[in-house]
Amino acid sequence: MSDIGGAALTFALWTALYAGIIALLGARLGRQAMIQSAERATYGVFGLVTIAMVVMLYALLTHDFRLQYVASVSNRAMPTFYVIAALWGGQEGSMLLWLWILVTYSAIVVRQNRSRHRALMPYVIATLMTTALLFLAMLVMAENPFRQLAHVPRDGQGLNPLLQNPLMVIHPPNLYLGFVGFAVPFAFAMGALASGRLDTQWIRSIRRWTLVAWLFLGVGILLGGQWAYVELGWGGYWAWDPVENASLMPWLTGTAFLHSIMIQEKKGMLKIWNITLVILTYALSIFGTFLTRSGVISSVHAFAKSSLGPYFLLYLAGILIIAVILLVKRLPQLQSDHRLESVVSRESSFLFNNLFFVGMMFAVLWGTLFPIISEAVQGVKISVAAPFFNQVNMPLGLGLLFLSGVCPLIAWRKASSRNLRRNFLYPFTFSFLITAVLYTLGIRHVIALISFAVCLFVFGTIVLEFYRGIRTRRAASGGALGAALISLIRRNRRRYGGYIVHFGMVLIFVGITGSSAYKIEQNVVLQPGERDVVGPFTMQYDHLTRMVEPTHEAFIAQLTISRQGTYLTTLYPEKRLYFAQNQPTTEVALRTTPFADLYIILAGFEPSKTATFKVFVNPLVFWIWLGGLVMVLGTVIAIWPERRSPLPTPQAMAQRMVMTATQETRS
Amino acid sequence: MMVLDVTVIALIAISLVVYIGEPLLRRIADKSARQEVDDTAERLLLQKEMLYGAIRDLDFDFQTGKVDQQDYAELRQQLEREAVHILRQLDAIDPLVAFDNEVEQQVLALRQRRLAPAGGSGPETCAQCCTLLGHEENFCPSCGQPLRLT
Repeated sequence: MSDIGGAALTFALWTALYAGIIALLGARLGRQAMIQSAERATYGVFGLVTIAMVVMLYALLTHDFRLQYVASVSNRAMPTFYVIAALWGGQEGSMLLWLWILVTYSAIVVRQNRSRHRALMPYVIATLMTTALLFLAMLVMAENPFRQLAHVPRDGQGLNPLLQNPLMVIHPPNLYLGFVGFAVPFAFAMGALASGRLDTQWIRSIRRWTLVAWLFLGVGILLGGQWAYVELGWGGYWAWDPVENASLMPWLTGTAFLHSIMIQEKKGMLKIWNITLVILTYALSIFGTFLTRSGVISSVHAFAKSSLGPYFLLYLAGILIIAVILLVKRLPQLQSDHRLESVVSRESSFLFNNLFFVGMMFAVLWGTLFPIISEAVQGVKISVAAPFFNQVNMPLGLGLLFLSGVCPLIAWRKASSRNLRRNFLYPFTFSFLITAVLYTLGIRHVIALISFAVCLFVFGTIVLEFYRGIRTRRAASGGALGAALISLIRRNRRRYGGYIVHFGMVLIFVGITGSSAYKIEQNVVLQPGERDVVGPFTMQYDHLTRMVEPTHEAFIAQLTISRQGTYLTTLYPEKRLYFAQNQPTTEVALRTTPFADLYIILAGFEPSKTATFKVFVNPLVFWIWLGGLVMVLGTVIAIWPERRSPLPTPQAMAQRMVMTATQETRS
Repeated sequence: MMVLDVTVIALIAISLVVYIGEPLLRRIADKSARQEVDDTAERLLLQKEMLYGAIRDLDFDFQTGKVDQQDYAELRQQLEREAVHILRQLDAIDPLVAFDNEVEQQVLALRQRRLAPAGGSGPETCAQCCTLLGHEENFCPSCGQPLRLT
C-alpha cells in the first residue's frame, strides 16, 4: 500500500510540473487544447495527492509501523481520534495536509472558472501548480512520508502529548486552510498581472476566497491561543512566540487587503497597493510555513531539525522576484482612477487603517526576525520579549479599533463638520459617559480606561449604524423590529457582516484589556487541608490522588473553591507523565465565567503531598473566545452568497411594457 | 513490492496519461472572435454590477443620513455617468446584452421606487435615467419619462 502512496506523490510531482508548463504554453500560443489539458492535469494532481492522503490515513489506522512517519507519531494505545490527528501531528504529514488543501483549492478554482476569467486561468493554474510543486518536491525528495524503516518496531512512539488535545486536532487544519487559501488570491493577482487584465474584475473574483482564507486563519489563530491557554499552562493565551507571529502576520496584511479592496471596487484607487498586499500576504504565509517547518526557531511546532529551509527560501525569493518584475512592468496600467480629496474622508480612513495594519506587521516581523538576524550578524541570539511587541502593537491596535468605528460612518471624499457631528456625537458621548462610570467604579489603569473608551465608542457606532439602518428599512416597508433587522442584514450582507466582525473585535479587545491590566498571579504552597486566598477566591487543597491510565500516569489534586464563604466549584489540576515519550505535562484546572477565569496549575508536589500551585485570576478572557465566535458569524454573513434578484413579477413586467409603450408613442 | 501494488500503480499512471493527454488529441477551437466579445461583455457586465452596487450603497448612505444632499447629488451624478458609459459600450457589442440590460435597469429602478420611504420623503429617481426628482414633477426633467403611472 505505502508504495502506492509514494508513487502517487511522484506522479503528482511530474503532473504538476506538466500542468504549469502546458498552461503557460497554451496561454502564449493561444491554444485552448493545451489549457484544457492543464486543467485536467490540475484535477489529476488533486486525485493523486488524495490517493496519497488516503494511503497515509490507512497506514495510520492499521498501525503500519513499517512507515517511519507512522511509527514516529502514533502508537497502539492512542485513541482513534488522535491517530487520525497524527496525520498532521508531524512534519511530513502536516506538509502532506498543506499540499492536499492546496490541490483541493486548485481543483475547485479550476472548476469554478471553467467558463469565466479564461484569460487569467492559465496563469492562475501555473501559479497554483508551482506552489504545489514546491511542496511535492519537498515531500518526494526531502521529507517523504512514505519512507520505510529497515527494522519494523512493535509499537510506535506516539503523538507528542502536548498535541493530544481536541483543540490541537482542529487547530492545524484551520491554519492551513487559511495559509493555503491566500494562494488563490495570489494566483489571481499573478494572472491579472501576467495577462494584463488589470481592471477590478480579478479583485471581485477573489473577495470570497480571501474572506474564507482570512476566516480560517483567524479561527486557527484563536484556537491556537486557546490551546496554548489550556494546554501549555503558563497562564496566558498569547506569548508573541515566533510561530504565533508567523500566523498573525499574513492575517494582518490579509485584513488590510480585505479593507483596501473596497476602495478599489468603489473608487478605482489603491490598485498597486492591493496587488502589493496580496503578494505580501502570500509571501508571509509561505514565510510562516517556513518558520514553523524549517527548524530555524525552537518551538513546540518546529519539528526537530529539517532540511527544508533552502527549498522555502529559494521559492520565496523566486516568487517575489517574478511578482515584482510583473508589477513594475504593469505599473502604467495601475494608475488610480481618482485621487484622495481630503484627509478627513472614508478613503483616507481606510488608508490609515492599511498603514496601521502593515505597520503592525512590520513590527511583528522585526521582533520575530531580530533574534535570527542578531545571531547571524553578532553571533549572539538576542531574543525580543513580549514587552517590545506589546509596546509597539498596543497603540497601533487601539488606533485600528478606533478607525473601525470611524471608517463606516465618515463620508466618502470629504467629510463636512456637520457630517462629523451628526455621526460621532452620540457614540462619543456614550463612550465618555460609560468610561466616567468605569472610573468612578474604581478602574484607574490608564491604558485600560483608554481601551475601554475606544471599545465603547466603536460599540456605539455599530449600534448607531444598525439603528439607522433598521429605521430606514421600517420607514420603507414597515414590519417588526426583528424582521427589519433580518431584512437589513440580508440586503447588505457585506456591510452588516463587516459590522458584526467589528463587534467581535471589540469583544476581543475587552478581553485582552481586562486580562492584561488586571491579571493576578500567585504561587501558593499548601498541605492537604490548608487553604489560601487568591483575589476574590478562597482555595482549599483537599488531597492528591495518583491514577494510572494506558498512556500515562497522572497526579491529581482536588481543590475546593469558594468566594466569601460560598462554595463555587471543585477543581482538579493534574500533572501527567506520558510513558512513551517520558514527558511530563500539566493539565490546567479552569473555571470560566464572563467576569474572570480562575486558572490553576499543579506546579509540583513533595512525597509529603505538600503541593505548589500556580494560580492565575484572568479577568474577562471569556470575551476573547466569544468575540472570536462573533467574528466567525459576521464573516459567514459577509461570505454568504447574495440572493439573486428575483424575476420581475407579472405586474412589474406589465408596468414595464406600459412604460415602453408610452415611450414609443412619445417618440 | 507486491504484484497488486505494481498493477494499481500502472493503472493510475495509464489513466492519468489518457485523461490529461486526451484534449491535446481532440480538435478544440482556439479563441474565436465570439469569445473575445464574451470576455469584453463579461468584464463590462461586472463593472456595471459594481456601479449599481455603488449607487445602491450611496442611496442607502443618503437615506440613513451619512451623506449630505450636495455630496449625494454630485456623487450620484458621477456614478450615473460612469454607468451610462458602460451601458453604451455594452449596447455596442451585443444587442441581446443591451436588452437584458434594459430589463434589469427598469427592474432596479422600480424596486428602488418601491423601497423609497412612504410619504415621498426619500429621494425619488427616474426609472429611465436615474435622475433625482422633485415631488411635483410628472415627467422626468432630464429624459421626459412619464412619472405618475396609475
